[in-house]
Amino acid sequence: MWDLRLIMIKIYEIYILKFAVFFILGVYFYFSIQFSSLSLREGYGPGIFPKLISFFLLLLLITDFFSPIEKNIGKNDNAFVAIFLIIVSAPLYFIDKLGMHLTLSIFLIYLNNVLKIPVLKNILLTSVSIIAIHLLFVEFFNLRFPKINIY
Amino acid sequence: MFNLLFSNLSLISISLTGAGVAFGILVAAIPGLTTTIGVVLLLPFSFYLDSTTSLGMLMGVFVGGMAGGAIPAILLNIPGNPASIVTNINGYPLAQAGKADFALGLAFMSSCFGAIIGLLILILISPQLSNFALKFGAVEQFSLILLGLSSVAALTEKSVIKGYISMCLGLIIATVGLDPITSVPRYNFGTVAMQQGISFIPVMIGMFAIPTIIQSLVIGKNYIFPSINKNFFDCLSGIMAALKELKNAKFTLMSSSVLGAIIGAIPGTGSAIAASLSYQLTKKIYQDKEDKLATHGVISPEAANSAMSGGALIPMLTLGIPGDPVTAVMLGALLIHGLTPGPLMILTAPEAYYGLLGSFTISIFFLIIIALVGIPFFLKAMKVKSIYLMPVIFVLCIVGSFALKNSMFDVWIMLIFGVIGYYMNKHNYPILPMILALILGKILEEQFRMSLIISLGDPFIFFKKPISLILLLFLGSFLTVISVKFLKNSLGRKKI
Repeated sequence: MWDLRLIMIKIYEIYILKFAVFFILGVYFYFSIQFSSLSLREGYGPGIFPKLISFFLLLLLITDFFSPIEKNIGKNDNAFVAIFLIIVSAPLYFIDKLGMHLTLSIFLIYLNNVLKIPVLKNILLTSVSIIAIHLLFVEFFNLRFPKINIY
Repeated sequence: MFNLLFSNLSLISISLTGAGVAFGILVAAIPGLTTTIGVVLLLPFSFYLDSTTSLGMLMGVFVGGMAGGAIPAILLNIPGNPASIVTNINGYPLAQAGKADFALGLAFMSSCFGAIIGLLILILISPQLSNFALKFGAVEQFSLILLGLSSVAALTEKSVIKGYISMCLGLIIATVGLDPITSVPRYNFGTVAMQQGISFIPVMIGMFAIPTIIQSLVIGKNYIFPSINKNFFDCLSGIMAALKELKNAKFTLMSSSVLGAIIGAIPGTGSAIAASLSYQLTKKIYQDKEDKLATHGVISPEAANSAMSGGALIPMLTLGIPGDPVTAVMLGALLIHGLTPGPLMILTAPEAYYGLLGSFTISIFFLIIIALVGIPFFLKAMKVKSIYLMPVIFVLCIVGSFALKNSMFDVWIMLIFGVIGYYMNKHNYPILPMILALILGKILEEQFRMSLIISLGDPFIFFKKPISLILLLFLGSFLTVISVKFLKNSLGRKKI
């Protein structure tokens, strides 16, 4: 019963993905109409290549749509992926205020905590990693990281 | 010839060439940094050095960079640069089987051999090869890149249809940004960041690294780093075993190196297509011999990408046309020193010309030493438990993506494509065709449109040029075989 449920979820997921790709293709082709594709001087214009790709991709997607679906069962992990995305995106969204060093430190401390690394080791690992990254990328490669700007 | 190559090299230039090799390996081993970035970072030093020394240093970075990308590809399943984009396919499973020293030995020694072949081709037949390269115009380049992309998409282990879908998605992403001919902004949705297009580096980092990170950190799948409990001398014996294996792979080594050098000589192609085409050829030859493919699948792309470095110098030195981005930067170094590359450079600046070839030779020598001494140290780094390394790798992915253009946009791209890559993996859509199409898509479109401009809109130009016709006939017969297989399998109700 549980296997059947997982199979149904998987098939549901596959069809959502296939429809999503069809939708992206539709949007892509719709925008490609705006670009000219008849100007011989410009090699048929900026619209020709997107239209050609759209045509071939449509044929492939139709063929793939009717291909048999593999029924190997996997875990339903969409919720985990969504949580991961939210947790990772939140500090990145505020990176202009938090600064790169603080954001990366938050990530390291959080991820080390998820992996059940003891607190002291966690802080030590985070500090060493951030210092190494700073020395390599900021001092040596002259990269400019976003700085803390809470005000 | 020996005098010519080495007479202008001082101790400083030899030392800086060696330092360049080490720097190139380091840069290429960090996902997000490419050999081109390494060469660009050292270019300002050219002002303070003489031409022979500065070119030698940059040459060292080039040679080291082509080999260094194999380290994260084999140990972490994350290609360090486009040159190693297929090395992880067979290299990583070898490392997981506890043969990381053997796999790295194969990769580095193949790179050394490939570089030697590239150098020999550069010295012996560069005028003839540059004449052949001149025959490759827009039409021929389009056909070659199309053949390369199609073969990569079709020869994936997963479904052929899914491979081509992945390729088309990569081409779609490549069209984002400015049109290569008219500079009309496409699919930028009014944003400046999208107007610059979507770079392949954050996409590559995201699609290879993020799915693994999600699986290990989120899903809890145990991520086992290949563990090596061998000491220094045992690792050396693994490297010697790799050398023995290379003796049994003479055909693969030679064919891949020659192919890589020829592709490198064609301007605009680059290391990714050299490595991919070479790998596809090897895969076709050994498709029924899995044990041979396991090793030859590492040897062929690494030999090809290093031989490409020699090939790429041919158009740069003989015609003044850079063969790839790295040689474009080296061209800048030549111009900084008032040297004009071209057919007369060998007469007007022989010390720089032969000095560069001598530095190339010395770079290969340093690469062999670093391979023998460095591999045990690379592996020692992997003895660190995966739970300590995973978060650091994730953070490095963020920094590596940010490093490209100092832009958070690339970090978001990395994350988004990481999730896309996760679901593509889950549903057996191959990632490699998409990334390769993203790397080569703009060039493909540019050559396609240039061909149509040249022919005044005649689409049959691709069949009128002999080299293009031959390449397209290869492609046609290849697609016919694939289609027949697909129809047979469909009628037999088997999945492909």
